[in-house]
Order: sequence, then structure tokens, then C-alpha cells
Amino acid sequence: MIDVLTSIAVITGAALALVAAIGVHRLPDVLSRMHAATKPATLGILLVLIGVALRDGRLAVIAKVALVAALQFLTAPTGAHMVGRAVHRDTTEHDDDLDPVDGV
Amino acid sequence: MSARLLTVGWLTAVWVALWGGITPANVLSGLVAAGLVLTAFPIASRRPLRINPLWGAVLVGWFLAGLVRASATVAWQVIRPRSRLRPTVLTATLPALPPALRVLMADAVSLTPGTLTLDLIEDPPALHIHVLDGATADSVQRDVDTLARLVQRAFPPSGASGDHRAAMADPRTRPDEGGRR
Amino acid sequence: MIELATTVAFTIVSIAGVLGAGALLRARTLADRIVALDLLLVILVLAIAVGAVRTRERLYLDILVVTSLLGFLGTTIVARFMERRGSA
Repeated sequence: MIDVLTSIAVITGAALALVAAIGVHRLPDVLSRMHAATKPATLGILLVLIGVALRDGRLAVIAKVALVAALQFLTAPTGAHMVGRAVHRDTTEHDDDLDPVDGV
Repeated sequence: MSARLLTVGWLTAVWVALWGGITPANVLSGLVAAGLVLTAFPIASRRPLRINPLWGAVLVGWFLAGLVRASATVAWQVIRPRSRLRPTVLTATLPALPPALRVLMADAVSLTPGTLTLDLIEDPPALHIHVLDGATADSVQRDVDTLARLVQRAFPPSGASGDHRAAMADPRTRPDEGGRR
Repeated sequence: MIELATTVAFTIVSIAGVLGAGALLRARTLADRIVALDLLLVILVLAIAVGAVRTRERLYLDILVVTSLLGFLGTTIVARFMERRGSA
């Protein structure tokens, strides 16, 4: 049973990484691409980390997994925020790549 | 002082988790390391945030649910052929919150569906938000308000001043405008 | 079971890695490159985590801590640099 859950978590997590990669290719501008690179990827890492914890129930492992997960939640949005701010402050004068886009 | 002890406590917990075992040597070296960190970076020991465990749990649940929905939404937007995306930049106002909670809000907005925080501004406190799917300013503001209410319940105002405004007005707690330029 | 699942996951992550490398090569602006590098790093962290599930090797967890911290540091530093230089 635990093996089944672990397998589902790991494969779903990997699929989310693929979604992020496809998104970075298909979305029209840098800021939109950052949506794809931030959210599914964070959830993907969280899922695989849950898989690690399920696979190895030792307290020391779970504590370290929790630490890595917390680190992801703190750093992923902050990194995206830093890059987003840099792009935003740079493009507010000539914001042609923020126009509505039809099709991807 | 108790805030200091609390910070030493969780820093030591992180240290022990990193070493992967509770031994006297680990705990002792962790305490020393935490003490050194607090001496070198006194900012970490400032003003404790009170946490309401119940609303804190609700906030974590809301956050995880938002992350799952956000990932599903982005996945759909990425895979759907010829989707019509309307990326725009909006501004949503924030209530008066201490800096740590404003950063938490900015982080949470980035991990919830359709929105990505670009910039945190002060006077008046607000967020510049990049919206992927053409959500209106009203709906984004509503989401931010909901999140702000949750954050305020999870971290109720502490201290005799009894108001988050007091933390805002305290000059030491103001960030240095990102220290740019 | 776990063998098979992690093999499937490794395959999917590898495809994602190839796409990420493609995005890095295609990127024309500095911001695009950071987004692509950030993506590659996330994929790397995820692959290491899949490895941890497969082998139960605890060393991988320490590598995860260091990799995520270094990646965050890198992204932040380049973003600061972009703001200072004023070109995305």
C-alpha cells in the first residue's frame, strides 16, 4: 500500500516537472513562463519529498525531508519574486511584452 | 528574552535535523551555533509573532490547496492547444501588517492560482501582481483580502500596543526599501 | 514496484531536463536564462529526490539541502545584478 502511494507521488511529481518544462517552452513571455516554472515545480518537489518520507519512515529522515520542503516553500516564490521584480522594473517603461496574447 | 530563547530553540532544532540524530553533542553544538547566529545577526531575535495554532493550520491547508489548484491550472494552460491568455499586471492593496507577514503574503500569492507577486510596495502597502489568465482586479483583490484575513487570524497582533499598526510604525522593523540604487 | 515507478519518474524527469536545456539554449534575454536555469535546478533537485526514493541513501537528502540553498542564492544574486544593471 505504502509502495503504491510512494509510486503515485513520485510519478506525479515527475510529471509536474515536465509540465513546468513544457510551460517554459510554450508560454509567451518571461513573466508567464515564471508561473509555469514556480508553481507546478514546487508541488512536484513536495510530492517526491512525500515519497521519500513514505519510503523511509525514520524520524531523522522525515525531519530532514520536512526541512527541505520548508526550504522549497521559502525559496521558490522568493526567487521568482526577485526575478519578477527585476523584469517588472525593467519593462514598465516599454511594456510591449505584457500585451494580451492570442494563442501560445 | 523569551523570543530569543524561542529562536535559539528552533535554530537548534534545524541544526539537529541537519545532523540527523539527537545526541548530546549535536544539541550542544546546535545551541552554540544558534547563539552565534543570533549574536551575528541580531535581527533574527526581534519581535516574536504570536501564532494561533488553529488558524495557522487553516492557513497551511488553504495554502496547500491553493498550490495544488495553481499547479493544475498552469498545467491546463500549458497543455491546452491555442489557449487565450491575458497576462496583465495589477496592483492589490494590503492591510497594515508587520514586514514578516507582508513577505508571507507575497510568497503565498506567488504560489496560488494565476497570480505571481512582482513587487512589494509600501505607503500604502500593496503588491504588484502578474496575472496569467485575465482575472479582474476585483477578483484578485478579493483573493488577497481573504488571504490577509487568514494571515491576521493565524498571527494575531501581539504586545501591549495590540495592533499590527504598531509594528508598522516601529522604524526598526521597516525594511530598507530593498536597498536598491 | 518502487523500481518501476522510479524508472518511469527518471524517464519523465529526463525529458523535462532536455526541454529545460532547450529552453536555456533558446533564451535570448538574461531573465529568460535565469528562468530556464532555475527550472533546470528544480528538475535536478527533483531527480535527486527520486534517487533518494529509489536507493534509500540518506546522503541524497544532504545533497538536496545544499542544492536548494545554492540554487536560491544563485537566482537571488543574478536578480540583484539585473536590477543593478537595469537590463532584463
